[in-house]
Amino acid sequence: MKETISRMKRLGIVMLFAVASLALPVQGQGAKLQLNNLEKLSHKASEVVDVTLDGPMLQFASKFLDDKDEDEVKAKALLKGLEGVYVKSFEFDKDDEYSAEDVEAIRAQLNGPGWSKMVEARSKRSHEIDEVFVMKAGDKIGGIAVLVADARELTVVNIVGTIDPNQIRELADHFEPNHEQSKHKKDKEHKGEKD
Amino acid sequence: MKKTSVLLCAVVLLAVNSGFAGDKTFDNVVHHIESHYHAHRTAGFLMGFAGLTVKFWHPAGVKNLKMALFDDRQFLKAEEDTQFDDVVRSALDEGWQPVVHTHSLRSGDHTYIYAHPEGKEMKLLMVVLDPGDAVVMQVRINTDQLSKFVKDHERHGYQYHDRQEHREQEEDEGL
Repeated sequence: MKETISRMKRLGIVMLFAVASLALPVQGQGAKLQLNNLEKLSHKASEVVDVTLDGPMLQFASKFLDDKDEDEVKAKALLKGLEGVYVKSFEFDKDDEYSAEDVEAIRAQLNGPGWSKMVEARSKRSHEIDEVFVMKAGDKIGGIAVLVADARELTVVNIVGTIDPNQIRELADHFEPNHEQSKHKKDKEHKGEKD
Repeated sequence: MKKTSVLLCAVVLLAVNSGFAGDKTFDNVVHHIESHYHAHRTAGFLMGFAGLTVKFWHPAGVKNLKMALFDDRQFLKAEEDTQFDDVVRSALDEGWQPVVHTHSLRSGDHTYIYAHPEGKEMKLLMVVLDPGDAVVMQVRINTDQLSKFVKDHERHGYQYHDRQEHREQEEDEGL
């Protein structure tokens, strides 16, 4: 009897670890999409853009942000939570150079656990489908995926990592055109008022 | 005197190349461009001198620089060169991580940027090929020093902008 209980306990612990290891990828690596199936399109596309910014590159980029600047500190905090930014974009000279299976392979991942579709825009005229997917991680975002597909273009943007929705708004402000100059002007005016 | 010059040149070349010993990708890409397109490097001596200067001076945290420029206008048929992509991608075997790859059939441009983080340092490999010219560059940078350099010059930029604005204001008032 004791042996059975101890076996059950061990089985319970193993099950717990198994469930935990399954749950972990949903929070971190799970947000990273497998886009290798798109590699073959490089040879058919007339324009290809492939960007891979992962941990070390993002940390490298964050070094250029000033610790004394309020906005840049916020941007740095956002970058700290990011694990990777991946972009694959293909433009074709002819229609239907990529197959429906190529897109479905990505969409299947986005239909997996953790992901939920936030935006879908379809145009019958241009045969364009724009979709935005978000992976939730508690009250924060664990990953974002943007899929844009039309007859002559296929673009996938995948952002992996913990993102606070409020930080996105702040970052959007940060990258607003002339943000730096106007901020510098404001700082100067503020300094003048003090003097 | 001649012997001394030759020896000096050899030492300089060795010093420039030693910074990237073991990095075959740069050499492979340059060799491919030279052999496949029969292109010749331009400003080779100048690039060597720049590499040497960087090796001892480290401007903006750049610790090593290797650069090959080709300006032969012989790359018009680059789209037919199916090996080029494989040669550059062989960088992956040496631990390089792809950062950016763009290619355009319309303009004939190819751009590859690979990175290799090494603690506080980062090695970057950039390959740009367009129908008119080609550039292959490899640098090793100290990321802290580079970011300090960028921030300092950003500040100088604003100071210059302020001075310019002040001068324009004075001119307006004078009119």
